[in-house]
Amino acid sequence: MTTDSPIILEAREVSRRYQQGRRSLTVLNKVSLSLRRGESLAIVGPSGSGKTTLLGLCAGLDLPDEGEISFAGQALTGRSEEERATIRREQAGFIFQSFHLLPTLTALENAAVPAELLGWSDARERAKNLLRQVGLEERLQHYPSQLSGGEQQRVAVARALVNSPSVLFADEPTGNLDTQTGETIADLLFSLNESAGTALILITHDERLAGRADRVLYLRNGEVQE
Amino acid sequence: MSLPAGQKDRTTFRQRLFWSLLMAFRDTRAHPWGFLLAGLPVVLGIAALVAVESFRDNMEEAIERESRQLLGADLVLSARRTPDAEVAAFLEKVPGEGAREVQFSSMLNIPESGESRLVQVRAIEGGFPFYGQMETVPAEAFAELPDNPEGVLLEESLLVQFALKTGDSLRIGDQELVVAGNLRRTPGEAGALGMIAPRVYLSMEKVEASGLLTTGSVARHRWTFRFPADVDPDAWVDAHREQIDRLQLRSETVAERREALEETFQLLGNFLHLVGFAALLLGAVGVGSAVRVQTEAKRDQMALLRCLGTRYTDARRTILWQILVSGAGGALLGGGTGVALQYLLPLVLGDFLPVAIEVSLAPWAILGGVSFGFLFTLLFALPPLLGLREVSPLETLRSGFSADQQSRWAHRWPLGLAVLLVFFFAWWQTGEILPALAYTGGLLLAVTILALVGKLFLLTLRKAVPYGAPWAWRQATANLFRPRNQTTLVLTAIGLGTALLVLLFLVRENALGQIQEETGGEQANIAFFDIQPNQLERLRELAEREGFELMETAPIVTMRIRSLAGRPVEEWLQREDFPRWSLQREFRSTFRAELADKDQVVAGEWIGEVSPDEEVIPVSLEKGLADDWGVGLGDRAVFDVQGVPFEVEITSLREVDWREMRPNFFFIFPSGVLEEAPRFYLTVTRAETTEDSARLQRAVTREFPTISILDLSLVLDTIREILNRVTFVIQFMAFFTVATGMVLLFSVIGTERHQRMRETHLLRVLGASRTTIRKVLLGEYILLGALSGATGVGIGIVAAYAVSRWVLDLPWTASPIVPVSAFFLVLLLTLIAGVTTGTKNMNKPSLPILRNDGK
Ligand SMILES: Nc1ncnc2c1ncn2[C@@H]1O[C@H](COP(=O)(O)OP(=O)(O)OP(=O)(O)O)[C@@H](O)[C@H]1O
Ligand SMILES: [Mg+2]
Repeated sequence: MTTDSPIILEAREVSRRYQQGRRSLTVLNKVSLSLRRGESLAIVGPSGSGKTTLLGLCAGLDLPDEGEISFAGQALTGRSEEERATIRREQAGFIFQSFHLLPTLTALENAAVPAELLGWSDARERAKNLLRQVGLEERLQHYPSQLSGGEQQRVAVARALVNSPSVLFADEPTGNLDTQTGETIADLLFSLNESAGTALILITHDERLAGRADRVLYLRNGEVQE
Repeated sequence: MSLPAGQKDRTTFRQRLFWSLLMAFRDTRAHPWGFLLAGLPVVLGIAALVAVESFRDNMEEAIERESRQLLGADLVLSARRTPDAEVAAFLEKVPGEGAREVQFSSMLNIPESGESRLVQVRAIEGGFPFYGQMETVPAEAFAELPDNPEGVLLEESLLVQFALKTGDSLRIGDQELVVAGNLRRTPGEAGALGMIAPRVYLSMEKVEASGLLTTGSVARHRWTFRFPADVDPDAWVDAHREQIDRLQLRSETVAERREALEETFQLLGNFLHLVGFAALLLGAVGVGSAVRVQTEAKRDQMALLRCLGTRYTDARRTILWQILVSGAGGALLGGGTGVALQYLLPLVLGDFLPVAIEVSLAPWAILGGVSFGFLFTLLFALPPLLGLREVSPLETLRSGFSADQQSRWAHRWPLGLAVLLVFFFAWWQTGEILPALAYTGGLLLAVTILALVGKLFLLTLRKAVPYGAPWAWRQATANLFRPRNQTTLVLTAIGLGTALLVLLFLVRENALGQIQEETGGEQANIAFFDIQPNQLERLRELAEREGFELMETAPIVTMRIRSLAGRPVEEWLQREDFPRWSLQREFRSTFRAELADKDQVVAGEWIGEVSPDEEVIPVSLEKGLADDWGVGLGDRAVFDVQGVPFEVEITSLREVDWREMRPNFFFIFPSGVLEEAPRFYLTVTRAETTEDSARLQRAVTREFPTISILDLSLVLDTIREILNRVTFVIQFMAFFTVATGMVLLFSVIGTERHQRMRETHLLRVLGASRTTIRKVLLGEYILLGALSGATGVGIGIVAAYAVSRWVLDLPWTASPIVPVSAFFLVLLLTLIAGVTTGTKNMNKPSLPILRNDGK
């Protein structure tokens, strides 16, 4: 079903190097990937292999030293941080290992932020809806510090989807959670991804979780391993 | 649902503005005190500024309003000698209505109790004051004085001192008088003027009939005039300048008085402003640091918002709102406090002002102070905000990630603007570029020196703590060097306040010490003057009977100078660069055969005796005056001693310590020539206790009511009182800066809380005992307090030494009490601030901290 959907994210031979004093360290070396609408992709690999770096590049948080990335039909390379921010605002959703909720906002407000940024008048309604879908309808007015880790991550899931992104970026979303809770979050991610037709790009160390993705990309020392 | 980029975002600018406001509100809702408290440090600074500016405004208004009352007349002419026919003829020619006044010293004593006090007697004939009023109780007491020859008007302080009321009787000199009323205010004179010799008004008729004013006693004569509307007093004075000088009169017009007054108050205002500004500067630095800590804590939020695609400007704006609100809150609170303070300043300073201050709200001063303070604060709060541009959205993926640091100046330019703002504000204040430049530069220099000294201490400390030191101490030291710490800032802030306070206290102590020294030991502390020649022996006997010894006795002959170094005085008076009063004055010279031990001849030779028919008399002149005049050994002068000319030649120069209470003279004549001239005597003695002193004074006034007595301990008390009042204001302002430093410390500690909490809990998790953590905390604040204290006290001592020695010319008599207690006070306050805020963290449950990733 996804094979004929349009390509929403494409990276061609991207490389990223960091300058370490005199010598430069190649963290990613000519990595390519493509992602179709509604498709899910898991990135796996040992620690330090460049997974987070690749994700950051795809989401336009950083720019590659070489190669091209296009996201939602627009080339990211050569764009300013502000222009990339606009693309993220409209097309991307994020889930982080350590949740990253704003501590001063309630669950509902946290979940609504991306839609508020787009000026959607139904931001709160959408957030409420999504929080209901992740099973937090009782927790709308709670602050992050009053929520468990799993609950915080569910709020993050709701937030990631509230702007109807075309791609969801998740960096080890279950890494800070116990197996049981991780499972619940993974279930949520995949089902919501399916129902909303959002593409999912997911970094994980969990084989089982990776196995649930449509495709898996193995990284080792900054290179793709087939 | 997913639309191409650029089509989903439907926000308008208004919406985004609203959103940033909403986010700001949500932020403050959760931590209402975080940013709001950030504005607090500036409150006292702005208050000080507003108070000073308002006071200045009120002052100007008062001078403007009472402009003509400053003199009570359009023109005042005065002389230190009895007017001769020529003067009288000249006075006749002055246009308009005139009045005559005479002022001299005499003793007031209360027959019943025997108490006495030196007073300044004044009598007026004519319609003075022409403008303004003598404020008396009862109101008509002054006007009725001419019809009441036995009546006397006393200053309030005298009535209080002797518990007198209207109708009570007293004596002035040998005259029996009755209290006719209470004198509250005379036009254009400060209340404090009467602190040493309180003013007393009699009728002219009484003064002339009574013989209170004897030849030889020093009197000042004043003639006051109200000019017709069509004559300009200043133009008239200009036209008659030559005559006025020749007759050795002094003139003063309203415009001149006003100018002098305005100059003085400009100076006072500038000084107060400077101190107030130091408080503001400290406050602004405090706000800047609090904002920095706050925005630092907002880095994660910033990174996340950026990751979610928030525009940089929108994300920044959410913080900007909070800064604006806290800054405005601080500024307004400061303005309010300043207005309240404004009512306090005239209460303290009122006695020293020659005009009645009516405290009124000065809208421009308040607006100017508040908006300047606000703007200034904002400029200090901006750099940390601008620094947020460096926050990369990548920080969400990789905690601790930080993008390449921009050059520091990329977001420090507001500080440059702040310096410019200071300069322009100072320029606007003073209307001159150079003082404004000096002011700005001086301020920069002071802050730089403080910061440098603080840094130096810190570096030394780091080197000084050995690796083998106990862990808690090493940890405490390390804490002072924690990245993005506020140590130098707190150090500078508290140091500045402390330095200012120490400086003021030490200088005051030196000033008082100087006076004390002069009255301690063997020095005389009571002076008797206006002694008639035939009273001298009887006075000596009386003193001996009472157990006192007259220490030094000198005859005094009054004389005027006619010509100097071959040129008549009129010619000298043409010179501009010249202290005119020094030639116009009436000289009170003495004659003696032998110089006292303390008279130091520094040039030439003292000649003690000449024969009465000597043509040219050898005299000794005080060196300072010789320098002023530019004359020396061998120069001649002609004196007029009550109508008889005497030619003298300067044969010796003496160094005189005018601060000592003993008969000091500009000119000393040899014995042999002045013995026949009308003269009176001056003598001094020493009383060990105030009771002794009072007993002697009682005895002397009872037997010799016309002899004037100057009680040095009274003068000393008065000077102390004046010093206290003046330094009170300054100390008050200095206290502001210290208080601001403390507020700053609290806010810095408060805002560093999150970071500290994480550290504390981490240490706890790693197994550190509460005692150890407490030790670390204690150690850190002991070090911080000690460093700030040492920096401040050190700089304060150096500055006090410089000011005492080179500006005020005072010897160093201050004890170590002030510096030592200042040091411990700072240490203690820092400890209290640190430990109270620090241990609060320790008792908080660690669960929410762990759950929320410690943020
Ligand atoms: N700013 C930087 N400067 C230098 N090296 C960096 C920087 N950021 C990342 N690296 C290096 O790049 C490499 C890849 O990092 P990355 O975070 O992408 O790994 P990862 O695959 O996500 O690892 P993990 O599974 O542990 O999260 C690492 O070796 C890291 O040290
Ligand atoms: Mg990673």
